[in-house]
Amino acid sequence: MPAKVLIVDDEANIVISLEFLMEQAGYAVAIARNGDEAIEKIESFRPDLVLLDVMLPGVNGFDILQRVRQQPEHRGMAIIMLTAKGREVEVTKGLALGADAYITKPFSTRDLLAEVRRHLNANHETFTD
Amino acid sequence: MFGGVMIAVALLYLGVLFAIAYYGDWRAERGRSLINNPYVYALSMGVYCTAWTYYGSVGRAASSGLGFLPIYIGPTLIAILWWFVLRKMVRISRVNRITTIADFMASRYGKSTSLGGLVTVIAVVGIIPYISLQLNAVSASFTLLWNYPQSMSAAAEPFAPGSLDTALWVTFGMAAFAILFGARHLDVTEHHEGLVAAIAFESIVKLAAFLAVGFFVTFALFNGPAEIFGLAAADPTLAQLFTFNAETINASEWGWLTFLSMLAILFLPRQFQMAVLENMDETHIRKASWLFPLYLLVINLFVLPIALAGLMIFRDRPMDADLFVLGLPMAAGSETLALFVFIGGLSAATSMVIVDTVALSTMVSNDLMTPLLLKLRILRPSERGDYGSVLLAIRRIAIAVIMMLGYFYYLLTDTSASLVSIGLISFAAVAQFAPSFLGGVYWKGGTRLGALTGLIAGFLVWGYTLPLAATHSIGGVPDDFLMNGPWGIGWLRPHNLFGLTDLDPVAHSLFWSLLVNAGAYVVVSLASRPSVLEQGQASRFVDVFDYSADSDVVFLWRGTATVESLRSLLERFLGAARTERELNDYGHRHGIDLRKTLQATPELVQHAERLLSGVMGAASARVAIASVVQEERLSMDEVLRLLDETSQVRAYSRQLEQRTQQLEQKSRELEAATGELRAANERLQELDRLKDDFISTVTHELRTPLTSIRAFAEILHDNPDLAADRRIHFLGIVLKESERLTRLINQVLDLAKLEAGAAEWNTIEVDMRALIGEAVKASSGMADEKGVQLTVEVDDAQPMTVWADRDRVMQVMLNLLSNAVKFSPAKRGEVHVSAECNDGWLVVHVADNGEGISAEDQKIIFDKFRQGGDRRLGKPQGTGLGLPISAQIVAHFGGRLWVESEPGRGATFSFMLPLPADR
Amino acid sequence: MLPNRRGQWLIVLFVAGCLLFGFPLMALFNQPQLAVGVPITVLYLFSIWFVVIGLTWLIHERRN
Repeated sequence: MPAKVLIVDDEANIVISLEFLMEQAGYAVAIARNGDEAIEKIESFRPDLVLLDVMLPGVNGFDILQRVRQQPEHRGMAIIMLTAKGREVEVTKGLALGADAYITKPFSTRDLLAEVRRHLNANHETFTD
Repeated sequence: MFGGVMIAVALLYLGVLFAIAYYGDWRAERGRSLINNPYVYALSMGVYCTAWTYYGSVGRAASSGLGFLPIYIGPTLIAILWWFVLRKMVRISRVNRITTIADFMASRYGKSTSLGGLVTVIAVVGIIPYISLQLNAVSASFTLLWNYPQSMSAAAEPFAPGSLDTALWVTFGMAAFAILFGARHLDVTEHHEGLVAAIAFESIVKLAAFLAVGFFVTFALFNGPAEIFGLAAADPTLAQLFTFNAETINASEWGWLTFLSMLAILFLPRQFQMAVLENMDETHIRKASWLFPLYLLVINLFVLPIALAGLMIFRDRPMDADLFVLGLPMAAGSETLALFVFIGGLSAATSMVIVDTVALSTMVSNDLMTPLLLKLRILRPSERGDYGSVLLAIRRIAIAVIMMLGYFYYLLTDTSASLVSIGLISFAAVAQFAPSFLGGVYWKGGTRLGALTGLIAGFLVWGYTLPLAATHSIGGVPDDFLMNGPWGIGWLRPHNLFGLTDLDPVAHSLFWSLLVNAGAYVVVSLASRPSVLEQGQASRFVDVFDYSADSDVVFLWRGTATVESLRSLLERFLGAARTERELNDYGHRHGIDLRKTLQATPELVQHAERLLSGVMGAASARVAIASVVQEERLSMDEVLRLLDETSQVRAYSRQLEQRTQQLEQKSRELEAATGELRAANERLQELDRLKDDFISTVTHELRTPLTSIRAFAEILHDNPDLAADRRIHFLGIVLKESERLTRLINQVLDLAKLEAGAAEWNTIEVDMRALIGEAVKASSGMADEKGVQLTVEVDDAQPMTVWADRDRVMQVMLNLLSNAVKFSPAKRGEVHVSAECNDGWLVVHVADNGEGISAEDQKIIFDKFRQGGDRRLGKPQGTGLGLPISAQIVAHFGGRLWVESEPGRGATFSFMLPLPADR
Repeated sequence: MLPNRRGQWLIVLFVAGCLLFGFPLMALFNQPQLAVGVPITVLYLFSIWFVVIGLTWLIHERRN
């Protein structure tokens, strides 16, 4: 069974590119375009990894991150923050709230894929062990 | 019996004038101006034709033939250039809220009270002969008609009830009339609509009366002009009036008089009042520049026939040629026509007296007495008191004094002098304004000191060569003085300075006075250094077409002024109601609540000064404002200039030890400059912080499209065997996002330029009706594509012309239209554009029937990079900069942009722009 | 008429007016004879005056 990736971003074209990349890498993909949708999809789709944009309409990325990390049932879920804001403060905040990685836009597709693979493999290892 | 009828008709006529004036004011209060059209404007300029024209032209023609004409040829020639000269004067006066010609000069040369006072003195002294001319003409015509029919056969008995002479009665009557009529209102910047309407009416009456007597003489007494000219040609003394010769007028005098009247039409206080201050719309100048000369031509058509007829009919009877106009119908026994002619003469004289006394009394109160009273601390603006009534009282007293001076001049000088020769003395006086006025409007280098020196020099020469010499006939100066000069010094002879003998007295005076005047003005200006305020005013005047009414340089501010102190100052001069209205307007325009603001901004202080200028003139207003504010304003330029100067000072000090005193002065200025720089630095830091925020937002917005572009570029690069349709889809996204990036960068740059004030504005008259039509047409493609219906409704009853940058306003319209189309529902969308003129503003609405904008969104959509709309439906296209840019553009032209919306019921975006003049 | 051309025409008209209403040109007509019952000087002055006004009208009011 392929690993499941949830893409959360409000920019339609960025979503299309991420969707293409994830599907090409063989993952099952779901999409959320705002905070509320993201929370709902996390519950229903139960992804292994979330690509999470920070600047979202409604509930923002940091709020979602915080919420997921407070729920024990999502303990194994990897979360990669994706945002245009590349300031040090933001990176620190994201990591402090429990993000697994931080990628700034514009990103290199190869780096992104490598990062996604790394986290999914790590998770699978912990599961199989 | 006839005398009684005559007085009754004259009083009735003056009553009609009052009625017209009140009707004009009544219409103006209701916003339905009687005078806002070029025809009334041109007719009101007919105030140029006074008793001089009405009675004096015929008198002049009887002795000098064509010598009466240059006075009308000069204005005709200058009128050709009105579109440049007069329009500039009108614009400057409107922008700077000028109230009189003295105020104009004072304001141009650094709001100088001394210059304003000097111009006032010259104007009053210069116009007094002119007023005496009107008194002379009205009393002579009155006496002639009063004694009808005896006056046709015997020498006239003077009308002198109560042992006062006729002229004194006329003086009392006219003074009372001018006080009642002219000094009714306090505010002098608002147009005197009633006055203008009455003056235009008087122009019609005097023209009709003069044409009536012209037709009567030419076609009833004679068989047309051919007969008159034919009979005259047979008589050598009359035939010589047909040509230019030694007995009539020579080429030099003709040229000088033409030149003199060119200046008079621009600078006579009453012409300045009518043509410049009462102008409602600059475009009216177009029609006036051919209509007014046409008026002059028509009123002069019968002058020569009447003069020749008079000379032939009164060959054996005593009759002053200045009274032929009245004498001819009387001699023919046509009483009704004589009465009409008398009323025509009365209208010519009263129009001059009214407008000149209004203009002169305003000058006396605003530019002479108020600064004096403020300086002597008799008037203290910082104390409570009703100063409006003080100003009004000063104006009324000034009218009475000016009229009495006119009467004394009449008594003191030769009453038998021809009307035209008296009038020309006044013309030559106001011509003294020409060098520093025209210099001030076209040359930035003219200084206050230059203007003062030139005016004083010119005025003294004028006084010596014309009015002083005119007192000769009543013994003011002895014969010897004229013939051999004072103390026998030949080259000081008033009519032959430096032995110049080839010119007639008027041309002689004009030549020397203008020579020393212009010479002193230019030389002293070049040798003196203008103050910062002068430099600022110079460019405000010379480059007036580059400024719009409210675009002031932002001044740095040292010291404090409270809104409250400004408010109470304004209340004392403008009254509570108007102050409230003006401040509310200001707050509304600038988006601040002045009731909740303590500190006045520099812009507000300047606005208050401009409002006061409208009541008391620029120079007085500056003194009054300074009394509340105490502190000096320094402009950025001045700070830089001071710094520049201090470096020069260091160089001086090394070379010249004795200049320590000057140095101390400079160091004080340096201290002031340091303070200014500190303030400037704080402001810069604040700006820097704002800039950081802006840059961080901009980079975020730039990264978004860049992310898509890079991601798809890499995908396409790494997947060379991608299916064709996918490939095209992805390439399409790359293109679209690239376009978005370009648009974003352009708009960021545009906004930065607007905010820095570095944008170039090409301000012209914009026909908004055409512009709206064009914008709607340009947007219809986009609307059709989405199935949105575009409708337009523009009020076409009024002209919709605003002063703005056409391309910029188009940008605003297109932005609002594209937003409206974008947020309208597809297929059933409706966008409605409407425009109306409302209370001095042009208001344009663009309404859509989209989802509407929530109350919170309404607050933020004018912020940079904030977009409205339901985000759950995905981001709307656009950069989020369109509305902030539009708002900046509208604000630049003194208007504002706002939105009204209820969620679910669509949104209406509206903007308003000020309509030109006080329409 | 182009707007900026209009300004140039006005200046030309002003200069021409100054010449026509001045000497030495007027000296050419400075004769006591009558033409159509009117002295030549008067006829000249008033017709030139009328023409100048007419041209001012033309420059301002004619559209393109």
